[in-house]
Amino acid sequence: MIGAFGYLIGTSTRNRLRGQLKRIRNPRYAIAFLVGAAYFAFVIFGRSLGRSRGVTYGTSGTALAPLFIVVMVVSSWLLSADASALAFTQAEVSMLFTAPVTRRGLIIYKLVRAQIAILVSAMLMVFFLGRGSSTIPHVLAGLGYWTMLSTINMHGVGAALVRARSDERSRTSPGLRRTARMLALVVSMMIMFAIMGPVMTGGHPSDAGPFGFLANVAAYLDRPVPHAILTPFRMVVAPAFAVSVGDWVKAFGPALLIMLLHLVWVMNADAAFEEAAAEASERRAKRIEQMRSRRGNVREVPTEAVRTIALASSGNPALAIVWKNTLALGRMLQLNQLLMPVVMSIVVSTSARRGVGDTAQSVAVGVLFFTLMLAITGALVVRNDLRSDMLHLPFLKTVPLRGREIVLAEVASGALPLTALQLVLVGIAAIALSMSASPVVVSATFRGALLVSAPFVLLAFNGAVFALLNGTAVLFPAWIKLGPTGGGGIELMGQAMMSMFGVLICVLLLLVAPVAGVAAIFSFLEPTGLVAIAGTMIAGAAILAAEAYGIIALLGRSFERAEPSSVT
Amino acid sequence: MIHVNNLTKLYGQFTAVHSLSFDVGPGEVLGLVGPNGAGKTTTLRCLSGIIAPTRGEVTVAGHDIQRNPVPAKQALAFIPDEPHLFDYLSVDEHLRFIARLYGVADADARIPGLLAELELTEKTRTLPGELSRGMRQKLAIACGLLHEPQVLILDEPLTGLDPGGMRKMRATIANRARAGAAVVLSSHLLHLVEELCTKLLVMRRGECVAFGTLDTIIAGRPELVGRSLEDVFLALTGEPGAEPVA
Repeated sequence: MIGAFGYLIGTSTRNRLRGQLKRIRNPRYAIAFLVGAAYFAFVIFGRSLGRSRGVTYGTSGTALAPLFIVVMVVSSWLLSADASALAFTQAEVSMLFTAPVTRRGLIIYKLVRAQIAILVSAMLMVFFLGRGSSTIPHVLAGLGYWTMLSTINMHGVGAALVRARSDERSRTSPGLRRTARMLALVVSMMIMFAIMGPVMTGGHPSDAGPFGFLANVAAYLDRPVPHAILTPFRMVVAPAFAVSVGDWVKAFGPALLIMLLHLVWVMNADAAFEEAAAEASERRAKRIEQMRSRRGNVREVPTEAVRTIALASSGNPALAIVWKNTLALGRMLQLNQLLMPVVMSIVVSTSARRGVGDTAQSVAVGVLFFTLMLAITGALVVRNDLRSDMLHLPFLKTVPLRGREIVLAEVASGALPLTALQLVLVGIAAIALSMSASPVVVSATFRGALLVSAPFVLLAFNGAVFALLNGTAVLFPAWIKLGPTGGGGIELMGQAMMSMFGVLICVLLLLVAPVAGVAAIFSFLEPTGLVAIAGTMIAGAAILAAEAYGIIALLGRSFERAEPSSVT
Repeated sequence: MIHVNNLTKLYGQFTAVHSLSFDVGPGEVLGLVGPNGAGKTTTLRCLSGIIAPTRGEVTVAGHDIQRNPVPAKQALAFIPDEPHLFDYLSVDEHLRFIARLYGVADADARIPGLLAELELTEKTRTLPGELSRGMRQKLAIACGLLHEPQVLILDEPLTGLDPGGMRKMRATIANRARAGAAVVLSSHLLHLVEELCTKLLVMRRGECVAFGTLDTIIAGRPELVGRSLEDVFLALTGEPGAEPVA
């Protein structure tokens, strides 16, 4: 059995790598490969000369890292976020589940297969995050990231197995599932409150500086009770954040032990799962299919379309694509995924106020901060564009539309809803500011100009970001993960970081011309009135929009040449 | 309606389709047959504009599918063997989506009839994930037929359908041809080909080994007179088992 699994994983990995490397014969892939290789060479060469030492975490960052693990653990129990830990491919379900293989064997296969992505991610994290302020060798830092990612991955698998077992039992005990989830929610809330409560309720110095909130949280986490609660989480991240070889040696043993304990737990949870699943094989098959379809942050696909949006059968046909993708977005995303970060942003903003302004201003700052965060991260989450639709390439190639029209519609499918959401948030911030009794740092004229130009600026920026991300799907479909999510699981964190870095660099390049244009107008014409300032901002947005449209037109040509065989 | 001239498709050094030329007129049904890997699906994909030919040209309803793709695609429908549906659109929404894409002005009048014809009336709000394989295939067929295409390209159209669905599909194809559509269908079901097709194009290793009506093809191979279509097919394609079963 192990031999067969090893053969499957080994040959699949080898063939996949071969297939991806074969793409380098295509000039487009060759250029991307060279750029990536040059970047890695620069990072390695730069570090060897001591010029670049990667990201410096600082005390706060290192102290806060265990909180990240807490969030991952809590989400794996409360949300569906880590149900992908149990996801098998269609081929695996049809071939392995029907083969004479134990459930434990399948879980071993699952864990081993995840190791490939974990190892790649650990390597990328060493490159992107560096070794922080430490002096430990790359290999030791990589091992630290490996134990951390492996532990989180195994915890996700274990939690998914336990949840699956409780789901099975709850069928015979009505209400048990709901009760168990409520209990888990209460326990998690208690832990979170114990950790964060005193900080949120003002138990921190109010003059700690711009990043005072983080420093205060870090200081609080060092107190006896939170320190004790977070000890196991701290042990998991300790090798990755060790500052010396001596620290690493001391930290690695406990981290490895926790990882091995997780392995034992997953194996035992697996036996119980097998037993429960055997009781209703028919239901199990359906559940496995459901598990398979629950990917990342995507809600389980509903069975019926309860609400819809009317679509006239006449008019611009490209709008049909925007309509389709908007419906899909509404059926994929959950409101709580949005509300939680907004609330968190407001809480952080309120806590970091330092006695300046009032609550209304803090709300405005928090909401605006989240709006800006959405400008980058929103496009990575909202994937109702060609990153999903390239899987339907044969269909899209038969519709009576030009390539650029299709790409434009796909880009608009993501950019328009995201811009609408950001404008709602900007509106909330404006209302909050209007209710503020304290003096506001930014002048009313400038605020008004920002408000007037916000729809244009945000739409142009989002359009540019979505055009770039759709470009990755059109130009490099074989190298990126296509589908409604970018691929779930902690093990793919490194790859996600690499994509984000790439897009950020391209966005910065695109911003050069509009920012230079706006700066030139401000320098030479010195606009002061609301209309003049707003006009300047809108002019900058127009430059960015023109750049984005240029990208879309180029992508349209590539889309027309794309063939289904390229999407593999 | 469909004019194919010297169609060639290469994948690197591999020739998937080599110098294929044929015409399909209004009301004609062309059966594309051949063993696995003969190049049938590649040919159909070239005809429908999904992939570009390496050489040669494809004209649909008078429009070159590469140089003037929008009006050409407006006139055709491609129904693949594997229905690729959108996870988050219901049955009804799929049809509304297609109606807008192809500008079907009387979609409200057409959709109920089409749903009834394909026995999907009770599934209008259902999402594809809850449909059976056959139902999904029927939805893909409904999407293809909604805009009443002049050219209908079908790849294994009966896959996944129940016997009743197969009979209705055969009738639908025949009716569309009678109404003046040019139909190209690829199938391994030789009885379907024999029943529906007015012309045959037999492919082997990317090349045309026979083209014309069944009678014309057999006339060119006197040793095949009186043999079944299956025997004719196996003899033409040089497949193992070409000898008739005693």
